[in-house]
Amino acid sequence: MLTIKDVHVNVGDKEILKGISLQVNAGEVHAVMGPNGSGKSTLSQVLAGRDGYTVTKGTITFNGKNLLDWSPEERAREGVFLALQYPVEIPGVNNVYLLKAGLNAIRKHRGQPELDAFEFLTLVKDKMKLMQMDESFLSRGVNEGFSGGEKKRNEILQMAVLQPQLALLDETDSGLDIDALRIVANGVNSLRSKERAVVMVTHYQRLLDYITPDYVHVLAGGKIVKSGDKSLALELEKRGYDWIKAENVAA
Amino acid sequence: MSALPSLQESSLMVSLRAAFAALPKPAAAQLHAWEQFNQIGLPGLRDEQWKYTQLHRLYSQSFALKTRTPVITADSSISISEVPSGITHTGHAFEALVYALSEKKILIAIPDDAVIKDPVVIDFNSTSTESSINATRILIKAGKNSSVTIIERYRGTNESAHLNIGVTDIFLGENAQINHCRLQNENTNDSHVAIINVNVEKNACYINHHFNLGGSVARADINVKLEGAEAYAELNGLQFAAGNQVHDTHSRVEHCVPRANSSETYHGIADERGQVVFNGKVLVHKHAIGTDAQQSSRNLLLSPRAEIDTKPELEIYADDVKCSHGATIGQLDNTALFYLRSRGIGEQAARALLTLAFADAVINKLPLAALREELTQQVHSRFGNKVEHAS
Repeated sequence: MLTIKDVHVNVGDKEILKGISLQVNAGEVHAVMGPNGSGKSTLSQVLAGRDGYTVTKGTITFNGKNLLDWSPEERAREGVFLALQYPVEIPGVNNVYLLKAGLNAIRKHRGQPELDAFEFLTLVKDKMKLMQMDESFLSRGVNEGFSGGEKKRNEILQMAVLQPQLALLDETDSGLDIDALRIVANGVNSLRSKERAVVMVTHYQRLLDYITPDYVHVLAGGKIVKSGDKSLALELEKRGYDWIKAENVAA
Repeated sequence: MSALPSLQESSLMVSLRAAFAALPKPAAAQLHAWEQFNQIGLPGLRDEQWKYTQLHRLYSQSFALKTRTPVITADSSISISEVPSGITHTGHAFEALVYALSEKKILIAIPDDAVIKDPVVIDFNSTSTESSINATRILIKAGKNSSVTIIERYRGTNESAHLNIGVTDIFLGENAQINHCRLQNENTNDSHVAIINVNVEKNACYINHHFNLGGSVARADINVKLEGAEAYAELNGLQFAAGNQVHDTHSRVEHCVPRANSSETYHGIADERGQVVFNGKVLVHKHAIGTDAQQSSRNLLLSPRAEIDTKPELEIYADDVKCSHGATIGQLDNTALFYLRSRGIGEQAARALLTLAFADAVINKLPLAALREELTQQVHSRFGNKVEHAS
């Protein structure tokens, strides 16, 4: 589904990603871990099409097509979703409007009819139950006055409504208490299927207790320095990142 | 070096002289005002109060005099009549011109203690197919303890250029309340120059909602005098200039007595080659201790060729007052824009949504749901079909 080949990314003049390759197939869950400043967030931003990141080398394809050719909205319509580390507050644009406009743009792109107000609300309310969110959230401004945990839940709610093929989670677990973490994980797990893939960027093993990854990658210094299965995450939790860096230098 | 053609010989001036000369029997007050107008003269490009208004666009046009009679809908307890204009002194060229050209003024009187539920609607529609100048005077008197909502609506339904000038004088008696909504949506060939003079007595509350959306050059001077203790004035405004529109609002709030309060919120949006001008003057007289005056001008610059000029002006002669002002000019938030797009919303639609959100902050202050809906629609329509209407 997603093929990243030898991708180098600059922010300004500084090279942040220095040759990343990653293959993500439908049905898989990948965790990308790594120390601060290793380029984890850069990877997810580049995939979602954020301005200010220049791919200087390498290719990224999504279902065989060049992802880098697409604007952020085209990526979303093709089925890429990024849950942000810091969701934006947008007073004056309400949640329900954002969800409806986004969903209908995506459906239109897929050649599906737009949902009418009733079908839409039924869908959203169903997903809100899953995320244990109060219906009053709908009429509020996007993330306006939401707590950190509410913002993260709202990200997963959007994901559950938009039903992407590829879900990218950028440190979705940061700042969550244990109950909120369980709800968020539950939302992500409900989306797991043979047709979908999840790439989660995280600092901590904690999230992986709830969302079991098929693969774990360690990103350090702008490169993937080690890949393995979920046992790698446990080892990282125990030993930190230094041994991998040391191993990498030695090699 | 070729000088600009003198204002005296401009097409506008020539047509105004012809229009005035053609008046069958001008009243003494009109003759007086005409003299005053000639003394003051049309504002030139170097006139500080008018330097951003692009009046030269008007000066090259000529207009025939027409009367645009508004359609007024009001509760039966409100008396509406036409009264002679009377002599008024002014230093404002267009105000003098309105006085010179209008023989009568429309008086809308709200009786003491009347609490009027349905809004008074004053509807102006330029339907004349001729290039014409329309001058209107309105006088609104709200008796003590009365309460009313007034909607002034300006529309142009054909493509001819009209110059619509008007003076609205408003008096609020003790403890009276007026919610005054002024919706300027003339056609884009029209020009609009409005002067609103408001006197607010003790304990009275005047709220103005000024929407400057249509027209080519549209200028409004909103002058409020707080003349009684605990008087309150709230001025809200939205200006949205695109194409080559110029929207200019000059507010002037005068605190004449102790313990009166005022609050101003003006939002401006300039797109394409549009220009938005705001000049907000707050004048606190020597005896006006305990004054609380706030002013905020926030502006959104959507295109590299658009222009925004904003200027707060505070003149304070009293001690022990609280006055604040803030003026900002910014662009759409890139992070918010990316966020909306990453959810599948197209770039143009996302820009429109964020712009509407900025406008909504003023629209939401309108007192009636139907009006909020109307203005939301109007602002929406400025973006064509890029955004479906939010439900």
